[in-house]
Amino acid sequence: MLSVRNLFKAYETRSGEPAGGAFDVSFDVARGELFTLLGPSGCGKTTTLRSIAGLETPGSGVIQLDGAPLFDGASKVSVPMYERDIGMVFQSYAIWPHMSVFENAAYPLRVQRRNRPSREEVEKRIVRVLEMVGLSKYRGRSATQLSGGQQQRLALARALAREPKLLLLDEPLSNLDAQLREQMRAELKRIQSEWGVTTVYVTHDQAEAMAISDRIAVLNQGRLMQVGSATDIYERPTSEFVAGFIGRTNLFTGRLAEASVDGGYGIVESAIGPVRCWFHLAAPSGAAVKFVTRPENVECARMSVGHENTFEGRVVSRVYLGDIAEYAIRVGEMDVLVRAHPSVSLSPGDATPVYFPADRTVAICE
Amino acid sequence: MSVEAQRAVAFSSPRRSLFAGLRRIPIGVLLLAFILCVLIVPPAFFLIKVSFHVSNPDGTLGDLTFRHYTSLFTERFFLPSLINTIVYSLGTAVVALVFGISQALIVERTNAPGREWVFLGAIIALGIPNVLHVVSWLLLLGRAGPLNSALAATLGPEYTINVYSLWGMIVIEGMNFVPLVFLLMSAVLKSQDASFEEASMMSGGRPLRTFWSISIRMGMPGILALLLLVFIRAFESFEVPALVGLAGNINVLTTNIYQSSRGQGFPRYGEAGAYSVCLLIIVCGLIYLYNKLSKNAHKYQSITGKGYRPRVIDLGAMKWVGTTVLAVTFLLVTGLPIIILTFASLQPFYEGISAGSFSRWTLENYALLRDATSFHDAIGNTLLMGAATASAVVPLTALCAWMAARRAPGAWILDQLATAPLVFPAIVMSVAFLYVFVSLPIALYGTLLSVIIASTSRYLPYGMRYAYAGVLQIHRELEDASASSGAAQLTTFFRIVVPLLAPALIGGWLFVFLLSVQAVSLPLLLVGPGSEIVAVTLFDLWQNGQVTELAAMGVVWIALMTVVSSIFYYVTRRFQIS
Repeated sequence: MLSVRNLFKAYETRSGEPAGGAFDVSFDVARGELFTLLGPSGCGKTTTLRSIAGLETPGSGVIQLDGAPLFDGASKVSVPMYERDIGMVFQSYAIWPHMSVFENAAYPLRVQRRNRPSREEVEKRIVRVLEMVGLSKYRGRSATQLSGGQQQRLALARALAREPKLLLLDEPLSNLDAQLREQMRAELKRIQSEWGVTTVYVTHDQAEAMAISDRIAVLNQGRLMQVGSATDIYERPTSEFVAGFIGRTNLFTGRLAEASVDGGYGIVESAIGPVRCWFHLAAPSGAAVKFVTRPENVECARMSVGHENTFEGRVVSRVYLGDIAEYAIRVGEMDVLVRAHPSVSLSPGDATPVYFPADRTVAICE
Repeated sequence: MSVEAQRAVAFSSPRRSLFAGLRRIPIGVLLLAFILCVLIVPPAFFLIKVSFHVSNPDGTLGDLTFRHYTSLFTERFFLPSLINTIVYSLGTAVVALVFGISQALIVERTNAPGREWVFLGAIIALGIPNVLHVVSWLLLLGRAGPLNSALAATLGPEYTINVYSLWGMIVIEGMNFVPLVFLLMSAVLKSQDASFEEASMMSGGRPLRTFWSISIRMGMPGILALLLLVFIRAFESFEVPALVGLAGNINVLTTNIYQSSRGQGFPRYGEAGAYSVCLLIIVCGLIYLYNKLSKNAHKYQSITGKGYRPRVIDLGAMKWVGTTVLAVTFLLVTGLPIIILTFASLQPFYEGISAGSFSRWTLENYALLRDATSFHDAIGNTLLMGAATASAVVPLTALCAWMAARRAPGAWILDQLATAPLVFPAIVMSVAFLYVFVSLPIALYGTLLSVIIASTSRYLPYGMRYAYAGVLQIHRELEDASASSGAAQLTTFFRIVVPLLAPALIGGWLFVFLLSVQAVSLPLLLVGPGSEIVAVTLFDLWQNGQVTELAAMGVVWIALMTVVSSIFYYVTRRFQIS
């Protein structure tokens, strides 16, 4: 459906220093999919989105929608943004304050050049789209009288009004307060799947990304780090950055004892001892590797003594958070972060075994 | 004491509470208020007094009378003048807005090549005195000008145009205000989040449709305020009505005042006073309206925080159309006037542009300037006057603005007083100060000092605006920190406020300097032998028909002022002063 190939777009500050952008970004989005670009600010996610929209002109690369090029750096094709069949929701919503709710939503139909719908058709379609976002009873209201959440819905209605091939959402929830954000997140997902519109979603919030997306692309410093489902990204990160950016993690360094195979296990000699890890890719024996494991996957139950990947540790500190208890446990020279059920009760100074399940301890070969 | 009790006291003994209130006001505020009153009250007082008294031929005042006012409304002169003024001002505003707004839209929102040069054009325009602008347009469009000779040659002599007409005034004054409209409108657009326009483009709206339905319509409150602003400025303008209107027998209110106070026979001060008071009242009403409108102007001004970035709309192949519009506007506003002026300055006499004129180059006019001491005096006087005015206005308004912004008791009156001169059109101010100076026992009339005093009063509001904006940018706690370190209030002002305010003050100084050295109408009635001012000299040269000398003097002066306005631009850019 949407295909982005080798997208380059570099920014410079006034004095000519590099200031972010996107470097060699490639991905495909399937029809009806909700695809998220996730990353910290300045990672190039918005640049990528705006290049797809046509609000930025990339330096090079190819962007295709439904097989037709929107942009092609080599053959100098660049379809103007107003001729791309794309709806977009802006971070600030950009609801025009001098128009009513209905007029805002109807604008895309009214400016259409080719087969502009009749008055009745506009009426019918806008009523439908306003109903879907729950704004039909506000249709005559001035857009300035809407709350943040309502503006958000209106922005979505406007973006969907002409039933575009592609929907782009630029941090659409970042201006809402926390409670409303969760509610709108669910609603966005519902509307997106009801309409079946192919969607590219930009956010810096990993929880939001995981909750809403079919697939996630993590970007850092303009480069695509990993693409996959929420589970892939969370449980099988391929880079230190992805592991650290999404959730909290324990990171260890070591050396591979014997060559590993793609998608198999291997033993890594580390400071705390030999640890069996899961490998994405084959790596030669003796290679320097890192491995990560999530705090909630580390177990400190007595029964694991004698198991592989089990080490003796001593509790350094305990933080009780209600639904969970967080421990820092010293193993050798390392402090390991452990998130345990609050019923596990250990006190600072207690000795405890620490177990890393091998299928959830992931080696990273960068 | 409770609020009610305080109120009860206040009601029972108003005199005592007034006295107590006055005592609470810091001495600094009282002192500043006194200085401001000295600058503002006498002209207003004399203006009103003169308009209600019979004026004797020797300049003294006779009996109380309403005759000046009644004759205004009975004579056939007033109403046509008023109608002319309105048509002229409205036309000017429309012309200025059409060009200025198109320019601002193209510069701020599109990728038309060369758009960053428009600011340079606006700065040069800022350095051209109004009177030179008018003169160069008259050279272009006048009877002997290149346009008319081209028209006569191609279509026949009956198709020539007469620039000394209402439309001529409108075109010239309109062009004059284009840079102002451009600068203000581009500030409006800068503060308007470009994602509104992006949303339109993403909805399938093409650039022109987007400009019309979104940029212009959303900017409407601001644009209306801008329209009224230019309307007011044209309403009280003098150069175009005097140089174009009078020659074509088209009278407006400002030229009526001028003619009454410096017309044939002895000056009719009472009549000028009555005209001035009427003009004053109208301008007061307009400014009131403007303030109401401009409060509304920021209605749609959007969040300029998160996610805000003005972006460029790619016009595609149409970007060259944008560049053409910019180039044509630049040519009209700045290019052609300077070209024709430079051309005329290199001619022994001005006869338009013809084949003959290209064989008659001379540097005679510049040689004349080099040797004329009167020219050197005029430049010296003008620079001195501008520097003195700016140096008086800036410290005074800085103190006023600081006290007013920090809400010292009673300091609100300083703000009111310092902005009050805004309602005086320059020519009215000139007439009013004329009365003040001729009535004073000391011989101030005709001196450079008299011009400096009048200019100081006139430009107080402009200094105030810069200083106030500057003070508002300084966080209060920076001063509190100084106070808690043990510094006295005045020490805090000089050690903390002044250094932080410096960029705004330098900007304000240059701005007041630029305005005051280019004014014609204010010093026009005040200067005498020995206190010549460049702008007035240029005005007189035109009246005497010494076009080529005028042109040479104008070219030199523009070069000088462009330097000043470039420094001004640099300072405001560098320190982000709005």
